[in-house]
Amino acid sequence: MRKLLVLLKLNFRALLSSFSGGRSGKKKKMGMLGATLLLGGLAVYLSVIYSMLMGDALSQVGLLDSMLPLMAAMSCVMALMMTVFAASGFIFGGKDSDLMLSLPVSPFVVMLSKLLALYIENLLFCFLWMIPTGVAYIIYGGSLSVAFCINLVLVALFLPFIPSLVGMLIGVVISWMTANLKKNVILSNVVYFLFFAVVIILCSQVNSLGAILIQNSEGFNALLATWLLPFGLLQKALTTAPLHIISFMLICAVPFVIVTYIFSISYKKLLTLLTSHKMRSDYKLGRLGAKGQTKALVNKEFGRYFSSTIYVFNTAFGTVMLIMAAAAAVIMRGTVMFYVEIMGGVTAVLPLLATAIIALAATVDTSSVSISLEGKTLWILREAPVTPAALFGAKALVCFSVAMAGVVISAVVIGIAYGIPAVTVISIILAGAAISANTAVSGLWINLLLPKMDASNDTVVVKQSASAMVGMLYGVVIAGAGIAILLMLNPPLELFCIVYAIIVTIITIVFWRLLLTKGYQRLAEI
Amino acid sequence: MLTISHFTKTYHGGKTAVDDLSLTVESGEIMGFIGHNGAGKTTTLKSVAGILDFEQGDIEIDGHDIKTDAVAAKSITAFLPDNPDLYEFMTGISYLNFIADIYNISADERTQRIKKYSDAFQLTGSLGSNISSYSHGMKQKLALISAMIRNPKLLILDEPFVGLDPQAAFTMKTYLREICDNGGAVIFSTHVLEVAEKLCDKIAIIRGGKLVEVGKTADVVGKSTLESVFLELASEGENA
Repeated sequence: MRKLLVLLKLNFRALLSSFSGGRSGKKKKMGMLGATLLLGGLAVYLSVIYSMLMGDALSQVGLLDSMLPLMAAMSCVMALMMTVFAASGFIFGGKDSDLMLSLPVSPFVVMLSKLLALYIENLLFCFLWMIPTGVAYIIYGGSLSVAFCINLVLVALFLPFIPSLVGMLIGVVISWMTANLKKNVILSNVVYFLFFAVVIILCSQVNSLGAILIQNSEGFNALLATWLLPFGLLQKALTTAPLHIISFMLICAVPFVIVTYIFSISYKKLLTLLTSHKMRSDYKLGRLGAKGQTKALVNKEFGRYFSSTIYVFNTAFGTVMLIMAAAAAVIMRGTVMFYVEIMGGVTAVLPLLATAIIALAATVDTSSVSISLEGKTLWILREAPVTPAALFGAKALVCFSVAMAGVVISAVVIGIAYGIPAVTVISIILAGAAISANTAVSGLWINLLLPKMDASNDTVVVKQSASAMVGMLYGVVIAGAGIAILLMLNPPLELFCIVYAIIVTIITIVFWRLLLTKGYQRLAEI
Repeated sequence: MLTISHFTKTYHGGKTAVDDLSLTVESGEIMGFIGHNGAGKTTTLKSVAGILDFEQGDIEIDGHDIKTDAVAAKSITAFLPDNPDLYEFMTGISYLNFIADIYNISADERTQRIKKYSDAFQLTGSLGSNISSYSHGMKQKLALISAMIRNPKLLILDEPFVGLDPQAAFTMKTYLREICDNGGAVIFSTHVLEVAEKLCDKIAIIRGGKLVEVGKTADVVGKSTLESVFLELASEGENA
């Protein structure tokens, strides 16, 4: 038991320290505390909003009790989204596996300690999610009792076992894909995006769950007795039959322990399977081609980008959404036009198009983690006789290119399909290009200020590092400022786009100049 | 070829890793850089390679200051760290090709040099495989080949013998001498004192960040052995 606690403490600290940017001492502790507060704050914020909305809607139609399983299911989906990639990297991709397995502890204890660390992270989120839900339930007329309070706490404690278990199962699949589909990166990325699309569809359905529930409450109750049994037991435990809490606790915890045990039996085999690589010894050296320094650096950056599915998956979201939106706008032109006419015609919705393109382009931020992802290979670039402009330029170009693919395709396709004037399309592309370039350059600065060079795997850098989060927030601010002006002041769209592009480009140039001087010095200090 | 003048490196937190170190390595010389763990060897070598920033002193490679003329200095230098982490998403050959591109080596020359060194280190057959599948020794060989194909004027090696099989270690020693015969210079750190004694023209001994002995190997060793000299200097340091 003592060994389990020691390993659990170690693993949980490893999970949290991934937020801290590789610093040490007080700053590291502050980073971990900040990450915890951010996660907790996000849970409370989202839960309060959804709980109040759902409580209001469901209490009016006499289905208030259904709010409890619905919110619990939402907390599981949210927690899963936040930890699913961490699960794959942390449990099966950690560089500490050799060390862990060499310790005089059973694989079950090693695996349990890692999964419990993941559980604690989910617990933080689910606990802070379910408490506001319970409060909202009482506010909208739910019955308050001692049993309800005790059971609510127990629900919050046992619910996180569900996303932890599902996260682990998905983690196995992701780890296997990462290790074995390296030769077929496109297939690997497609599988990722399909998974992501399913999650997005589920999340979008969450918003309309209230309406679906009102229309089909019997069907929902049937689901709670079958596929969603844990949530059905949760509902009963918190409303009509408090003793069902025992069944709920068992149905959450027992599968978690059993699956952990089953996987731990073949943990070593599983790790070998997931991390083994094919090797050949029949290479014949032919005449090699030369590309030149700049092209080699750019190729290397693209190679690094597409070699990591988690990297692509987390940074190409905006581009994929823009391309999907363009395809949908063409395929469902009739339906879209119906809504466009209701909103006042094509001209009236153009600011929304510009908003979407600017906002989604700002989410394509490969730069803010690209230096961290160099990790221990950074010595190669430091040693290389390359100028700061070539080094940073190659990294920024990847970010810019990925973003611009979405910007150009969506603007041109939608422009042609809906007869938008060329000047408007070009001005929107200019604004998109400006924000893409800004994200590409500012992201490098952010990464230089908040590097995470000792991450055990890509997931830690891409999903959990401080620079990834700050980069995302910076994108929200710089794009949000423009969007707010556009939507509130409603200036002529083309004028707005050009002025916005000029302002953002000036900021980008300032960042770039700083990058070439102070940034290069900072690179040497990392 | 290499001139280090009053080099001092202090890390964040105030620890002085290297204190006022000065030495020179002439063309045609192999210098062995020896010292205890944490003595400042790696810090010095990384600073020479332009990987670590430093505040005091000057480092010049063939007349190029590593701080103010870094690109020129680096383009004639090759550095091999003690534990070379390479791009695991690349194959061996794509990594060598990448390095050749960075150092502007022509297509013909790179083909010829890669063949020469990868055959010598018995790695040619594995060059088509991903680096992620390589063993530590294979990565070490690949990094060494990537250093050799640049035809460097100054080769900087940090613990180059760790992880190499005896055949590869022998091959490497042959090529180190070849670089010097062609007018280049080599500086490497090692704990294998017998190798340093036999291979090096000059020996520098560093202790606690300070250079305590430097000179021609024969002068430093005298009638004793390098091991005896090293241990003697180490015990002097402990007693001081």
